[in-house]
Order: sequence, then C-alpha cells, then structure tokens
Amino acid sequence: MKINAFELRIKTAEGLFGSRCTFTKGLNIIRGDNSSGKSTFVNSLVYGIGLEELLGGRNLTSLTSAVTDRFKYEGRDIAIQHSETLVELENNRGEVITVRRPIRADKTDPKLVSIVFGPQLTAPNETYTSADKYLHDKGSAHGSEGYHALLSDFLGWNLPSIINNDGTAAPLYLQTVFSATIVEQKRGWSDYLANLPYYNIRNNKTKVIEFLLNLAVFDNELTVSRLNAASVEIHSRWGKNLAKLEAECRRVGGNFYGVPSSPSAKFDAKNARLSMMSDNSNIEMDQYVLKLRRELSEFETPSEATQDDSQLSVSLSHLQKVTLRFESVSARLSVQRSALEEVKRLNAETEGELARNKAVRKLAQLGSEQTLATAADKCPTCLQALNGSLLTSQVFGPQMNLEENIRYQENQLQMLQRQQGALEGEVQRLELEEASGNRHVTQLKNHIADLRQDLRSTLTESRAAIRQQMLLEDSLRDAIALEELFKLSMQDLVLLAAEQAANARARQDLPKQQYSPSDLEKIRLFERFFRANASSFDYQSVEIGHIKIGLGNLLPHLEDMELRSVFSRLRADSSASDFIRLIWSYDLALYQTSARPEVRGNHPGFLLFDEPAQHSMAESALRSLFLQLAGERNLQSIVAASFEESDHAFNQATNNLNFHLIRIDQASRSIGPGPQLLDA
Amino acid sequence: MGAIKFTRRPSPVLSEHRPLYKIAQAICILGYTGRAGRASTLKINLLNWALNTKIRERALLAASSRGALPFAAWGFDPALAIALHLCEAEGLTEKTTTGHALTPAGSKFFKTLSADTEVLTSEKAFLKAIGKTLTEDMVERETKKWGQHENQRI
Repeated sequence: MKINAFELRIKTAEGLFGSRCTFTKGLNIIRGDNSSGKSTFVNSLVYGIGLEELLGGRNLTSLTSAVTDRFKYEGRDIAIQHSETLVELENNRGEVITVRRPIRADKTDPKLVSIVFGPQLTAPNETYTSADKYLHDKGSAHGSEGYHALLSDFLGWNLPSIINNDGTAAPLYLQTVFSATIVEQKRGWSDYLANLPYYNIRNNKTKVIEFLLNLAVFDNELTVSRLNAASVEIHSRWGKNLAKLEAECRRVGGNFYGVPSSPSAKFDAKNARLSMMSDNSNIEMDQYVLKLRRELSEFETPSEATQDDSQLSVSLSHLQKVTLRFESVSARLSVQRSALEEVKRLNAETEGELARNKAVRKLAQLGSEQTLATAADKCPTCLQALNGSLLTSQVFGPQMNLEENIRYQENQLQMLQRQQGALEGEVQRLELEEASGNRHVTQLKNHIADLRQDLRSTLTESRAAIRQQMLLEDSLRDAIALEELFKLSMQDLVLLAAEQAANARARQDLPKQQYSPSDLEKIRLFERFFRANASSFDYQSVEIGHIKIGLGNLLPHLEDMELRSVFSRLRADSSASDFIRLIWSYDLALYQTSARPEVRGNHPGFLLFDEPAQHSMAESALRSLFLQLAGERNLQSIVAASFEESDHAFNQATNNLNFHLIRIDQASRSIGPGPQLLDA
Repeated sequence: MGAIKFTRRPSPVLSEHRPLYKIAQAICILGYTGRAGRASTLKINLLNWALNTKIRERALLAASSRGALPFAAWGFDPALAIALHLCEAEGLTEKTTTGHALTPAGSKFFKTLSADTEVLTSEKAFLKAIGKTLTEDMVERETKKWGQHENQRI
C-alpha cells in the first residue's frame, strides 16, 4: 500500500483552510515542531484511512478540536463549518482509490466513507465513479457495504478466520493488522504492536504476525475445526442409529452386543450379535426364530377344546413362578437404578471439582502474569508458603498440592466412570428382563383366561390355541423386522466407522507442532532480520545473539522471558529508549521478512512512525533508522518527528539521505488557507 | 509379632479452599456485580454463599430481578475472609467503609479473568446474569431485620 496524497479540507466563514501534501515511495519525513499541529496532521491522516481505532477511539473521539470545532490562525479562533479528509491510496497492482471521509458535517455521518475509484487528488480534473461505504457498523469488516471489506480487497488481503474468546469464528480485523505498521506516539512506543485495539481475541498480536508472515497455521486451525465438525456429525449419526435400534429392541424384547456406544474405527460388524429374551434367558436371534417356527408348526392341525384342566393348573403354577421372578427383577432394578443415580451425582461432583482445580492451575498462570504472590503459593505480606490452602491453620496433617489433587481426582473420576458404565449396563439388562417378564405375565394371564373359557365353552376349537398361535405369529413378525433393522443398522455403522477412521487418519497427518517446517523457517528468517536491525540501531541492553523470537507468541525473548519484562526490572532511561529500538527493529523486520520472495507475506509495505525518537533517543539512532528505511526501496515509510526543534539535529539525522520532506513550521502550523501545501 | 506401621497420606483439598480460586471468585463478584467495582462485605458473602449450590443460584437469580432477596440469612465463609485479606495484600482490592473495591490492578485482573474462556465459566455466567440487579439496598434491607426478631431457618 502506498499513500499518494493527503488533504485536510476545512470550510470556514473565511474560506477554505486545511493542509495538503503528497507522499512518495521510500522515506517521507514530516518535520514539525512540538505544538505545531503535527499530531493533528498525523491523526487526521490515520482517521482518513479509516484506522482511527489505532489512536484509541472511534470516529471523532480520536481527533482534536482543531479539526472538529475551531482552530487558531494568526492568533484568531476560526470556527469550522465543515471539514473532511481525502486520502489517495495505491495498491501493489497500481490501482488507485481516493477515500473521502467527513469530520464535521451537518448531515453526513463520520461513519460514512465515499470511495472515489481514481486519483482524485493527484489528477483532480478527471471524473471518476464513486461509491459510499460504512465504517464500524456490523458488517464493515466483511459485508459488501463495509469499508474495511473494500480496503482489505484493495490490499489483496484474504483475512483468515480466527476463533474468538467466546468460541465463535470471525475474520481477523483489518485494524489489528495495521497495528504492526502504524505506531502512534502516545501509547505506540510502550510495547510491540501497542496500538492494537482490543477485540476479545486471544493472542491477538501473535495472530497478526502469523498473518503478516503468511504462516500456514491458519490453514491448520481451519482443518482442525472442519475435522472436529465432521467428527461431531459422525458421533451424532452413530448415536441416532443406536437409539433407534435400542427403542425397537426394548419394544420386542431384543438385545444386541458387540456394538461400541460411540464410533470406533475398530468396529467389526461380525462381532455384533442380536439376541432375544425368551423364557427368561437370552438366545441368539436365529435360534429364537427357529424356536418360534417350531412352536407354530404345532398349531397346523386345529386343536380341540378339551375339558381337561391339567393344562390350566400347569399354566397357573407357571404364572406363579414367572410373577415371582418378575417381582425380584423389578426389585433389583430399582436398587440398581438408585445406585446409578448416586454414582452419577458423585461423578458430576468430582467432575466439577476437577474442573475447578484445573481452573486454579490456569489461574496460577494468569496470576503470575500479573505477578501475584499467591500465584507462586506465597503469602503476599510475609512471603511464607501458603501450602495451597486458605485454611492451612485449621487442617491437620499433610495436604495434597494442586497437581497431586488433580491426579487424585482424575483417578477418582475414572473409577466412577467405570462404575457408572457397569451400572448402566446392568440397569439396561434388567430393564429388558423386566419388560420381557411383564410381557410374559400378560401373555400367561391371557392364556389362563382362554383355558378357563375353553373349559366352559361348547365350541370344538380351542380359543387358547388360536390366541397362542396369533401371539407366536406376531412375535415372529417382530423378530424378523428387528433382524432386518439390525442388519441395516450394522451396514450404516460400518460406513460410519470407516468415516471415523478416515477422520482420525486426517488428524494424524496434521503437523504435530503448531508450526510446520516451512513456517519455522520463516520465523527464523524473521529472527535474523530482527537481530540485524537491533544491531544496526545500536541496541545495547543485552547480547543481541541471545535474543530469540519465542515460538509461544512470536515476540522477542531472552532465555524464555519476553524481552519487555527484562526491561521493567532495569527501568533506567537508557533502557527505555533501548526498548524503542527493539520496536523499530521488530516492525521493520516484519516488513523485511514479509517482502522476501520465499515468504510472500501480507505486509502492506507501508510504515508510519509518529515521533519514534522517544525518551531522549540519540539523534544518531534516528539517523540509523532513516538509513534503514530509505534503503528499503519497495517500502513507503512515513516518519513524523520534531528533531528537538533544531535545524542542527535535523541536518545531522538526514544529511545525504534521499527522502521527501513535509514541513510543518511553528509559524504557519498545519492548518492554513488554501488548504496550504506542506511539501513545497 | 511384627509392628504395624502407618504412613499418613496427604488429604485432598477442596478447590473452594485454594487461595487463587477464592481470590478469583471474589474479584469476579466485585467486577460483575459491584457498582464501579465495589461491594459490601455482606453482599460478597451472600454471592459467595449462593455460588455454592445451583439451587441457591437459581433462587437468587429469580428473586434479585424482582428486587428482593429469597434468603433471610446466609453463611459467612472463613475461607472467603482470608481470601479477601490476600486480595488486599496483593493490591487487587482496597477496603472501603462497608466492604471492598477493585484497585486498577484488580480491574486489570478482572478483565483477564472475564476474557478467559476456560476458568470459572459457570461462576462467571451466574455473576454476569446477576449483574447489577442485586443492589446494596436489597442486602441492607434484609440484614436490618437481623436481631429484630427470631430468624427463620432456611
């Protein structure tokens, strides 16, 4: 990205005011004394591109009253009637757009941005098409009416999806990416990417760097989430299949074995068995069907009603036995059910306790980031050990530390889960037995009633025999239907198991580490650029060869400690300005790495540093920054600085350098009639 | 006859009694339900007590939006008192005339806690739902009754 030209237009009762200038490829220096309106100028430029969230605010809150309300000119206050910014941007394909954004306007909203599709500032006499886009509203980032969506298209960016703190996926925001290329002076020099707006995303900075360096990690994350979704789908289809089969089994008294309750790649349909409850024992389905057929064949010749009551007394004693058994099954079932409830409750309690203990582990990490003494298990007042408990003084004997406690609860949980599994199996078996007993009792009662009627009746054909025959036919039909359903289910499950196996294989093929070998190469290259920059900026605080780019968050580390925290201990003036050299080195190395043909990163090739020489930085350091920036031929860099308000300092820093100067002097300030031209 | 020897094994600690857990819970109570990060000791104790069981949570949620408390009295946890002392010593909170208030460091820790998706999820969801509906007034109205007549047991 390159800014071709910028214009701040202010309409007043005394005519048109403001400022305008052009920018070139390479180094641009905005020289302005303190309180000359340099910040007003730089902030208006950032606002004009629609990135004012980097300045810490949305819309007009990021701007000073000098562009929103009234400004001073030749000692007078002039009221602003209308103001707006125009920024002409060019992308690396040579396309040009001009972004026109109102600041103070009666009717238009500062969220409304007009895009002119052409170089309206550098070739104003042509006519161009234009379109209105919206900023900051929902959809600005990716909707077709959104300005940020247009800008990211214009820059050729395909912003990756990332996972928010609430677990939803959203594209990486454009504004966050620019925090690596635009450094504002108030907060910008306090940390790497310090101007990054907060958007409820973890490891925000790391995501920005991964995007700029074009690391493959986003693809991996997306693949993982796709595989996860597919796996959830497989689980749910598996569960639905089993639920349907179980419901049918319960209805007709069947049971099946050898089918895992969740999808398993090891599932083999040959091991799956279907059985039926018959006279209180489980028999294989084919045996059961044979038995039914045999029993049915006995009814082929119609049996006559007899006056013999021996059959009745046999059936009555059978009923008595079956009823007794049924009652004992019911009693066992209710005992096991309440045992299961109890184990489930214990299980939930242990799970909650385990989750809370794990939370404590995470809290210790969050707490130590804020250097809480309790995070290190120390009393903040006396620094004695807390022994991991608030009530140490009231409990006797040794207590488990956190890790022991977590292990202990994990073991407990495992044991309870096994117990729950066993009980669930037992309850299911008993339920089946109870249902089958219940059916059996009803059948027997009906049979006895039929036999009694037969004894009284004068009909030749036995009513009991007919009903018996009908019952057998029904059971046979149910059994055959269940067998059919079972076969179909097993076919589906075999397919699902294969899908699950493929899913697991795809997971195995993913890179084991977060970064692939080619990603690691890019990170090492970034590290080399960073060290080289730090050395040319004369960074002194620690041995440069010892600085590494940490793989945890991609920020500079010294022996596993973020290089900023090393600083906060020294806190001397020299180290504060030394830290700023690291930020220069870091932001520039991001561009250098991204620009390499083997990296093909997403850096826009644009840097804006506002007052980079903070904390009484030596002018020689500023000169080395200019040298580096001017040496990058494809980078547009814009540096705003006051040069201690001295020509001598300015000449020392810029002597013999090739750059484009934009001058804001104390006398005329940034806003003048015309609008006034700042680069003569 | 051989002597029997006993070795005392460490006993598990309730997560409720882990210092950081209670500290984080207290910070969340102040952050989510306190006005400008401040709350009376009575109110902190009430919420800490309600967080103990789901039944209390539900009762408090249902009642607080109607502007009254469902409990006539609640428990005071000595572990919470110690945790509040630790919070103060850590510089996360400071004492006010009636209770405690978040310091800037405390607010920062609260921001970290509320942004995290792994820790204290159910606690945070409850406290967020309570939000500012549970006012100091409601707590005070209930506690003023204490000692005026026999407390009912709940």
